[in-house]
Amino acid sequence: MIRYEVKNETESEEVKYVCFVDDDTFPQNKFALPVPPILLSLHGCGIIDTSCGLVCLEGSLRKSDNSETDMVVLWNPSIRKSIAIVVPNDGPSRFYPLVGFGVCPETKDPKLVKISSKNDDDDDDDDDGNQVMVFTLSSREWRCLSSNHLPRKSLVFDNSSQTVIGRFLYRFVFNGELYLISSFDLTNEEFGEVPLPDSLRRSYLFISKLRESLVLIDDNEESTTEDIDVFDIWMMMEDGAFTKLFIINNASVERIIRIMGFKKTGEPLVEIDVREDDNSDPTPVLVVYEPCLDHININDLGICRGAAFFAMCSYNKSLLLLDYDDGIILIRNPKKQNSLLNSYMKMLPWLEFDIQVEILKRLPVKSLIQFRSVCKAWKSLIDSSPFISDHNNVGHHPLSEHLMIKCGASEENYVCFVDDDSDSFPQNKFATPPVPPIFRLFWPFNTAIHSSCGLLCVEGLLREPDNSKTHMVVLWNPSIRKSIAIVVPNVGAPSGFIYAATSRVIPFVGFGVCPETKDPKLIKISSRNDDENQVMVFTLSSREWRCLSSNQLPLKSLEFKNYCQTVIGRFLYGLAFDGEFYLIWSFDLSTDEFREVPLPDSLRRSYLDMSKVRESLVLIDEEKGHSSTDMQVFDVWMMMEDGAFTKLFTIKKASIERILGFRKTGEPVVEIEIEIVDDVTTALIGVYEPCLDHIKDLGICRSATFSVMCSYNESLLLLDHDDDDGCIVRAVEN
Amino acid sequence: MSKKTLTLMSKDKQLFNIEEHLAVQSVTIRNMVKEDGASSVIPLPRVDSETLALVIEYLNRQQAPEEDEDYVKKFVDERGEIPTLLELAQAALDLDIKKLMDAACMKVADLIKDFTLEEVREALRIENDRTPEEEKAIRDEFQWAF
Repeated sequence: MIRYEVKNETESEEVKYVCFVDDDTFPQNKFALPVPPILLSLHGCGIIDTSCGLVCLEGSLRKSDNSETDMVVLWNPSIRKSIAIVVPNDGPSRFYPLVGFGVCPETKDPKLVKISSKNDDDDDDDDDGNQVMVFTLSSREWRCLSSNHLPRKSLVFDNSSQTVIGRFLYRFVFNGELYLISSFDLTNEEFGEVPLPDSLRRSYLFISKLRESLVLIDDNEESTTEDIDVFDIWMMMEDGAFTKLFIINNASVERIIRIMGFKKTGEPLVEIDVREDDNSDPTPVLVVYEPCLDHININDLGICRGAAFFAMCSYNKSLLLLDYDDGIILIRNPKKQNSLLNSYMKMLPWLEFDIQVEILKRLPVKSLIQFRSVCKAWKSLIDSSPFISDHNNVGHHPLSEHLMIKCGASEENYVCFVDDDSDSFPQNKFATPPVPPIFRLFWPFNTAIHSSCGLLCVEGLLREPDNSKTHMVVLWNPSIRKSIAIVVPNVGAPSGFIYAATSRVIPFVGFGVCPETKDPKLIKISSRNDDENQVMVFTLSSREWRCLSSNQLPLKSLEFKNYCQTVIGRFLYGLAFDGEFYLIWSFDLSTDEFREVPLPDSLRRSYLDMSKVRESLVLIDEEKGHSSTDMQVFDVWMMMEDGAFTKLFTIKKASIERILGFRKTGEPVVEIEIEIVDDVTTALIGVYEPCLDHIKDLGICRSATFSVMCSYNESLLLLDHDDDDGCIVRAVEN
Repeated sequence: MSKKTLTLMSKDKQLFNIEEHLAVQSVTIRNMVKEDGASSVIPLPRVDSETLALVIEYLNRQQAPEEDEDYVKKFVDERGEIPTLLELAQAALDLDIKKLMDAACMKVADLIKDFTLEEVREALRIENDRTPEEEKAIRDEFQWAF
C-alpha cells in the first residue's frame, strides 16, 4: 500500500498534510495525519524524500535569539513517531546545508548525508572540496566522510531533489559545465556517477522515481511555445541506459507548471494554474494527469495551495522508529555544545508522553496493573524493564509498606497489613493475596519469609510425583500475584535424600535483589565436609546457578545459620558460627563479595536474631537465664552508619515470647504465649509499644507452628517474566 | 545590588515579570540565563497564561525551607482540577522545577488511582487504541485486579 502525501500551505499559512491510499480507489481514500509537533515550529519546512516508510523533512528552528538551527525530522506516519535531528552547522554558510536521506535496505538504519559545498569566494585551494558528513540513527552521531569518496571535488550539489532506489541515493549535480547524476551507496557509503546521455546533461532536470526506477523529468523550458507544455519523461533501465518513457504534450487549457511525482500506475501528479477569468490571479491546484486521455480533472484531489510549493512523496507502511522514543537528537561532540538549544528543546511540544510517565511512576501497583489496558503505549511502558525498576524506587508511594504475617501452615494463615503512619494501624488489614499455586505441592519451611524490593522469598520442599522431595525457593510478588519457583541444586547430598530436621544438612539459601540491576539473586552455601563451604549463585536473569570460588569467604569453617538473614541496600547480611563465636557476614549483591561485619565481643557469644528497622540492620539478643523470674529480656541493637552497633532499647516483659520483626515506626511485632494445652502452644501476635509498655493485639492467633513476619514494599518485579504464575525453574548447574 | 527582572512570555503572548533569583528555580530558565544572559523576553511556547500565572505564584512563594514541602502540597491541593494540574505538571516538567512537578504528578496520580479505564482515558485525553476483544485479553492477564 502506498500513500501520497501532499503538503499544502493555505493562505493562512497553515501547513496541511493529506494522504491518499494509492490503489484503485484513488483518490477516494483520503485521510489527514496528525503532524509531529516539531514540524509546526520549523520554518521553511520541506520534504526531502521518503525511504522504507520514513518521511524525511527539513526546516530550521528559530531560537529566542533569532538565530536558526537546521533540523531534519524523520517521521513514520504509519506509527506516528518522529525524531528530530540537529544538523551540524559548520560556520557561517550561505546556504541551507544540503542533506540527503535514505534508509539502508540491509540494516534498515536511517542515514543522513550532509554535503556542504565550499564557498565560491573561498580561496582556490580546493583541497577539501565538498565536505561530507554522515549520520546514522543507530549511532546517533555525525561523522566526517573523507572527501575522496566524492567523484569530483568541484561539484555543485543542488538541493532541490533526490530520490532513493534500493540502496542508492541519487541526486542531480552540476559540475560547472554539465549536469550529472551522483549516486551514494547507503550500504558502503561510496559516491559514484551515473552516466547520462549527452542530450540530458545540458539543462536542469527534475529527479523522481516511478515504482523502483529512476526517472528524470525534462521540462523543455527553452523549446516550449506559449501554449503547449511539453515534458519528456526519461527512465533508467536495468542496464543503466536511459530511455524516453513518454512525452507529456498537454494542449488543454490548464497549464502544467510542475510534475510533482508519479502514482504507482505511472500517472503523474501535476501542479496546474487555474484562473477563474483572465484577470484573476492563478490558483495552483494539484491534479492527476492522465496521459492517454490528455485529461485533467480539476476537482480530482481537491487540493490547492497558497504561497509555498507543494511537496509530495509516496511511502509504504513500516515499523521503523518503533524502537525509538520521540525526541530530538542534538549534535554530539561538536565544537560548541549549545545548552541553550538544549533548554529550548525542552519546551517544544513533544513531552505529552513524558508527563504521563511521571504520573504513572507515582501510581500504586494495582492501578498500574489495571491501567495496562488504557492504551498500547501504557502497556508497553508499564511492562518495560526500566519502568519496572524505576517504579520500585522509594518515595513515590506513601501507602506501599506492608507487613505480612504467617501464623500457620495453611493458606489462610497469611495475613497482610498496611504499615502506614496513621493511627489506623492495625485496622488497615487487607485481603491477603492468594498464595502462589505451587504452595499446594510445597511444604514451606516455617522458619522465615525474606523480602527484598517487594519480592518475598519462601523456602521449602516440593513434593515430586515420585514422592521424593526437592529443595526449592519460591520468589513471590504478592502485589502483582506472580511467582517463580526455583530448584536449589542438591550437590553432594545422596540421591533421594530427604532433608532431615537438622539445619546442618540443609544448605543455607540467601536471597536479595540487587538494587542496581533489580535482578533477584540467590546464594546457596552448603557446608560440605565441614571445612569447605561451597557457594553457588543464581540470578533470575541468567536462570543459572554458578559456583563462586570459595576463597571469597572470609573463613572456611563457618557454619551458616539458616533462615537468619536481612537485606539492606545492596548487602545481604547473615549469621554464622565459627565453632567458638558468632559473627555477622555481608554479601554484596552487586559484586558477589563476602565480608565480615565486626561485632562487639559481647554480642559474639550467643545466637542472635536479625531484622531491620527502616533501612538499618537490627540484632535481637535474647538474654536467656537472665533472672530467676519469668521476665523475658530482649536487647535490640542497631548498626549505625559508621558500622558500629548501639543498643537501641531493651524490652523486659514477661509475656513476650519472641520478636518477629519491626514496623517501620520501630515498634516490635511480638508473639505472646497464652496457653499450652497438650503440648500445643497457642499464641497471640501483637505490636509492643515500648513507651506505654503495652501490647496492641493484632487479632491473629497462631497455632501449632512458629509465626513469621516480613515487611515489603509494592513493586512490579517479575511483571516482565513471561512465565506462568508459579512456573518452576529447574536451573542447570554450571 | 539591584534585583534583576526577567520577562516570560506565555503561549498566548502575555508577559509576566519575575525577579531573576526566583525564576532560576527553574533549571531550564537558569540554563538560558547562564547561556545568553536572557536579556530579552523568554518565550514559553507551551505554557498558557493561566498556568504561567500559577507557576509564577509558586516561584514567588516566601516559605521557610522547612515549610516548603507542606506549601507545595497545599499549593497543588488547592488546584484539584485534573486539567489544571496536568498543565501545571507539564509546565513544571518543561521548566524543570522538580518539586512542583513531583507534587503535581503525585496529586494527579492520587486522583486517578481508583478511576475506571474510561475515566482515566477521559481525564488524560488518551485514545483507546484497542478493540474490545484485545482489551479483554489484556485484562484477563490480571483478572483479579478488576
